[in-house]
Amino acid sequence: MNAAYRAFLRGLTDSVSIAVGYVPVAISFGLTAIHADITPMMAIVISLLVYAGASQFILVSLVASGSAPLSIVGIVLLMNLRHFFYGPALLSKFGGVPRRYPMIALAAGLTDEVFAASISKMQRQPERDREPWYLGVQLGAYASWVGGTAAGAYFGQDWLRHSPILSQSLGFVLPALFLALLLEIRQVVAVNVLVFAGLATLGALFFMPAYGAIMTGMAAGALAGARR
Amino acid sequence: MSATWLFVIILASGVGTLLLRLLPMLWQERGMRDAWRQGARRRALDAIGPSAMIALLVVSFWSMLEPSPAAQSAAPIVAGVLGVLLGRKLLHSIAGATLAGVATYGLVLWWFA
Repeated sequence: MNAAYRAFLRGLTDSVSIAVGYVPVAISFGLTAIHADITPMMAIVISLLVYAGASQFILVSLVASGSAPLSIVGIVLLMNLRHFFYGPALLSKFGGVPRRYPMIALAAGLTDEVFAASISKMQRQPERDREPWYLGVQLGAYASWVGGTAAGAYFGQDWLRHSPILSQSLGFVLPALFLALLLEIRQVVAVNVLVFAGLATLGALFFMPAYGAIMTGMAAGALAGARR
Repeated sequence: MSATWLFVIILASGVGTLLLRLLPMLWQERGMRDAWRQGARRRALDAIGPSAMIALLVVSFWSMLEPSPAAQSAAPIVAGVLGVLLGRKLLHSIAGATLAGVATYGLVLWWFA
């Protein structure tokens, strides 16, 4: 077994922490899609092709409300605009070794959670192993998201019908995952970055939708980091 | 809405999202590699990840509290946060901390129900 393959397997193993968060939310997404009269197969296609959690929920609700196709695509892309900043930040963590894989393979699965987990754990990987490790993280997360969607679309209603508490608890999975990731990286992040980003997000929520507030928080944190 | 239109929307959203992730990486790789590595830009890039995490966390809590910012809706969140902290301390893993937080959150929801 060569080093790249071993690094890829380590990445798959490390993706378990993301999968723990993804599967319940993906099940919720599958359920939401079914409730919006989208077929199970089409729900899976959404997760396969769009693969961007929150915006998928919005896509489904806009489809259900009969919105115009162009506005649906526009809102989905606006929500995902924050992903624009992830790639350069991620590339800066790969180190100076020559690129091993096509860039599209590195970009395709770059979600919020994959980005956060990779940023927090990549430094522990040797530079030459970082790309295959990251591909493993991506693939594990992607498989859990698509698999969770399929489970939710085909079986979710039976599981959750009799347990509203379990259904509500699914809503806390992603916040819990983000908090756990923050705890993981707290020692390498300046406190002022977190304070500025958190306060800017909170302030922005009074004036704009959530995706705008997220971008405002990211910009404030980046400014605080640059001025350090 | 017809299945064809739905598929067109999904495809356009998917391609657009992929381009949002891919294009900045290509631009950086082609022309700005050295510049990104230096000084303030590098520090700003390093700060984006943690900033995104805390921003997503704040937005998540906000959306959970927004309809009724009462003690009854805040208590499960506080318990969930404590569960994550405790899970992190005892289990030393991201997955363990996440599950501990969700379990605590669910328990307090059940208690109030």
